[in-house]
Amino acid sequence: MRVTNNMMVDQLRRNLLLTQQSMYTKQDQLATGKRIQRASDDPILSSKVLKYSSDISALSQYERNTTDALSWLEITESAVYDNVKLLQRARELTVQAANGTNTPSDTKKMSLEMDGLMKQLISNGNMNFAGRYIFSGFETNKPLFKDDGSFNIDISQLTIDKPPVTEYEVGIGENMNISSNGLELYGFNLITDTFTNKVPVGVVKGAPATQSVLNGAFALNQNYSADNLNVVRDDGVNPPVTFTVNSALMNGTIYPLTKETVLNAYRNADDGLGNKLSSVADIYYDASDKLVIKNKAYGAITLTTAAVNFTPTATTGVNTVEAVVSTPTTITDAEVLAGTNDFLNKEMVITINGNRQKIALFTTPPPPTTVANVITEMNAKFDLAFGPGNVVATGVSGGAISIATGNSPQNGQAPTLSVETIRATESSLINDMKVVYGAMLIGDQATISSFLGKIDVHLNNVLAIQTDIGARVNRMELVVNRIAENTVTYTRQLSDAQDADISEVIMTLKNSENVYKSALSVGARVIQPTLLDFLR
Amino acid sequence: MASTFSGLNIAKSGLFAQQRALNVLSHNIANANTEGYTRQRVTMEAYRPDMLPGTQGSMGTGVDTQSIIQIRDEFLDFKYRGENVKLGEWDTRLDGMETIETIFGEPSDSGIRKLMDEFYASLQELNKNPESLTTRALVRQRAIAVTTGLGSMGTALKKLQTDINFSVEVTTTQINGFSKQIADLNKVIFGAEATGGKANDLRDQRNLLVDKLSELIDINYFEDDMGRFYINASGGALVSHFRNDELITVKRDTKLHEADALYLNDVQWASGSSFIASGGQLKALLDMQNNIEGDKKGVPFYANKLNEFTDTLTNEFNRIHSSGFNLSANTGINLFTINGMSTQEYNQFLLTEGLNSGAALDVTDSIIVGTSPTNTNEQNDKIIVKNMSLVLKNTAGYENKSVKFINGRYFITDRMDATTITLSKDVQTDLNAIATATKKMGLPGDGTNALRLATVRNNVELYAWGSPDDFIKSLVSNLGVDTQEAARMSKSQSLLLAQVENSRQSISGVSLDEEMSEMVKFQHAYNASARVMTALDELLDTVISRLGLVGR
Repeated sequence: MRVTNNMMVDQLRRNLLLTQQSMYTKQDQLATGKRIQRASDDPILSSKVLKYSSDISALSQYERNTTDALSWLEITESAVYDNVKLLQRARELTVQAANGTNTPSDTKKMSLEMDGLMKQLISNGNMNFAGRYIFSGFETNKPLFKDDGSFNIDISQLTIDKPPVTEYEVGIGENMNISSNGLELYGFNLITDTFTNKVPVGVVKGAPATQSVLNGAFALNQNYSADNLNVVRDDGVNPPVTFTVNSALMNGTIYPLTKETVLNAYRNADDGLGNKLSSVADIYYDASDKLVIKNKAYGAITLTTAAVNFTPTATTGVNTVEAVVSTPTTITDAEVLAGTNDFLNKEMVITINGNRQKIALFTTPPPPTTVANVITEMNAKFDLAFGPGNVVATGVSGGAISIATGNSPQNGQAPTLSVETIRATESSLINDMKVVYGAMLIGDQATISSFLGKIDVHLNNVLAIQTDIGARVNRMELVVNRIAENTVTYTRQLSDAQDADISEVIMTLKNSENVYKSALSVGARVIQPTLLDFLR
Repeated sequence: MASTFSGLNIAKSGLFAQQRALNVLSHNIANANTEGYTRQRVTMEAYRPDMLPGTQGSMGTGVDTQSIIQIRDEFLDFKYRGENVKLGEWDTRLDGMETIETIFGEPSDSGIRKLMDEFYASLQELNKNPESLTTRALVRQRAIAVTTGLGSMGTALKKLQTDINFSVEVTTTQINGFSKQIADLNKVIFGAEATGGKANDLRDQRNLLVDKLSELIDINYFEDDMGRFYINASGGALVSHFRNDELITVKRDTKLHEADALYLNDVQWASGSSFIASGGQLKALLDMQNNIEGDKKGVPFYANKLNEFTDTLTNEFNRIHSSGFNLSANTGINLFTINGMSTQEYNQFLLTEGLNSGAALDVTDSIIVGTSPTNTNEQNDKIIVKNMSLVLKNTAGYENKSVKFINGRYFITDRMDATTITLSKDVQTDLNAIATATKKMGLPGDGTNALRLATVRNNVELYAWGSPDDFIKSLVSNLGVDTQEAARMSKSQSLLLAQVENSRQSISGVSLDEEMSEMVKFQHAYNASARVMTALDELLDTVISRLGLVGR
């Protein structure tokens, strides 16, 4: 092969470039410590790098979550453990006080300690962790108890059958419940009086409305310009509204109309106040190519006058079925009068479609004397909370009280109504402590002795809770170990995938350097001499 | 009998021929480093001899320089251009792919993966401390980081597409420039060669232009018997003898793909007929600018995927977030909207101009088919998600649209574009607006909704490619494979081209050593001819000055 000077120069340049590229890559790998700089360096490995990095980041979050969960559980555990100690001391004290040889002045002295124990129990119930009250369910911003030992929070949300649960995620799809229910720990006394027995309680779901529909063939090659295509919509509450369709341009005899034109004409039909038909009705062509105008909510939808070319069938909708909560027991004026004070300051919790409102009845005297009084007060408070007519109570003397959501024709959604009454304001544990404290003050031996049976129940209850928390703490500790192991594994795999093997990189770099140096020295020889140098 | 001066003539022809050879040689050396230069040689031939009478045979009459030829292998030119068109294409493609790779910036500690990881982590913290304003502020900052991350990626992709579009214009102008120059050269060459010779240097210039053109566009070229030169490209006549057809760029009226930048160009012939690039830089540029699928996916594919990611993710986050309750006991608030809109503004925007700048299409009836009030929410959710994808798949033109839940009804709308995503104004202005509780009664301590948001990370049914993490992973490995292919092809093409160029240089390149030795050769021949001239001169001197002096 014939070789020219320029060929040699070019070849040398190319080879130098290749060696330099290789050195560049290796130096980059050394400087960053990473084998992969860009996804194209190794697509498979880089997707692994992404996966492992995400896994490690998720694991470190799970680790933080478990640490927090452990702290939370530990503080709960310490409060519960403290309660066990307090109750045991209370039991000893009671046994001591129940000894018949004690004089009332002796038991009065003991009552001081009992009072102290009760205050400590209350203060344990108000225990907080980083500013959050741990036994108050979701109302973490309020302590569980007031100073006098009555509940400070709305306990209807703490009721035992649906306790609020706070969960931390400690693994993919693995949630850890860290909450403890203050109501379970301290017990509660159900109040049964005229109010709670005679006012309805429960959850009822109504049925949704079905929509009224106009449905008919709308031929695209007809002339509608002389037709009155206007649509009337009647929501059953407000006066009917006419939506005017601009039919002047809808002559399909010359050029056939398009579906788009027809749909737009209807969608843009106007009530004269700037409201479009499309805001209250869905307008579309159905599968059999018929024009459908469907009311979005309950209510009638009709043509103002029969059109010549558009003769749809109208289907009338059905309104929502209202949700009614009622009680099978009847109430009479006499019963209301007998339990007059039961109605003072009574609270109910009413929820319609997720809108939850707490309602307090008869907050100011006079209390009711007839069923009619109760109904009037309820409706007044319901109207305040939900707007007029949305929740209605009915009932007469000798019949049952029922509470219903009004029809909601405008939105057509199925109503859900839930009515609860708040049936407890006091913890049974604190209440029992108060009773025994009172008994000790006056030396009432019989009451003191009867407390022994009650405190054992409370003690067992608290011990069970302590065991449950202990078990959760144990489980958390296992999770902590597992996360630590996984982190090590994933970190190693990430390192395998992404980190450069430094010794190997240095060796290849050195190798490239040698090649580079020899190429340079060869180059220096190759380029220099030509025949010119030897001609004289 | 030969004339007295014929010897002088022979010596003169020798001098002239050697001198001409030396001139050509000097031309070679002068152009040793000229791009596209082909070495030339003088071909010499003996003059027609004088026939001597009888059987004496013929007598030489000197030397004639017959022609100056180029040492060139046209087959290698053909090969060179064939490989060059591929190199041009893969090189340009590699450039574009590497830019996209940089835009996505994975694997790294600053890519979207990292931003998402941090966002999920902040939501986990929020689950633990739903009422803490500090944690809420953290969530807000991390959410903003995600939106700006996605936004800057989206914007960078659009910018890249606009840049590529500009390159298309430049390349088209270049192609037109080359074809014009070639047509002009054709005129000069044709004129110069009308008398039969070869216009070597002009041809070199033309060959160089064709070489350069072959990098930009896939060409076929030929020269007919009459010496007329033609170049065809992609079905059209780029150059036909003295005339050249121009390519023009035309602004597109409507976007080809939804995620495209505005005002992109199409390339067509100036005559109006369509142009389909089949190779070279121009094809790579058009591929990068327009391809949403296929072997050579371009910017639209990645922009579209990014929008799919953004849209599905925000739909899911908004769905969960708007079902929850915030500290002000409100519900129905979106976490993400576009252009800093509030939830209400965004919903209004979607309803009035959410679908192809027109009203969103209400498809509630098709979406809720099969759901029932007696099902659990999860069962209904599953049916709804399935119906959503069915509706989009079965309606032509809606494959890249989205179904959004607005004010209790389902609408088909455009996808949320990554360039426009922002945190909703509600959350932007009020930390309390982050909905942490699933139920109103859970306020303020219930963080379950925050946890639901955080577990979107593990929802493997969110995308056809799996969870959000999986989606990014798949997208990055797609990108990696595409870029790797471009890099490999570009490298092997440049090696191949180097090889062909080497062979070409081996034949056509100027070797200084060779020229030097030739120089010595011709110099000696010249000197010898001159010496012959002197010798003849002396002979004549003898004849003229010395003869007839006998007896003087």
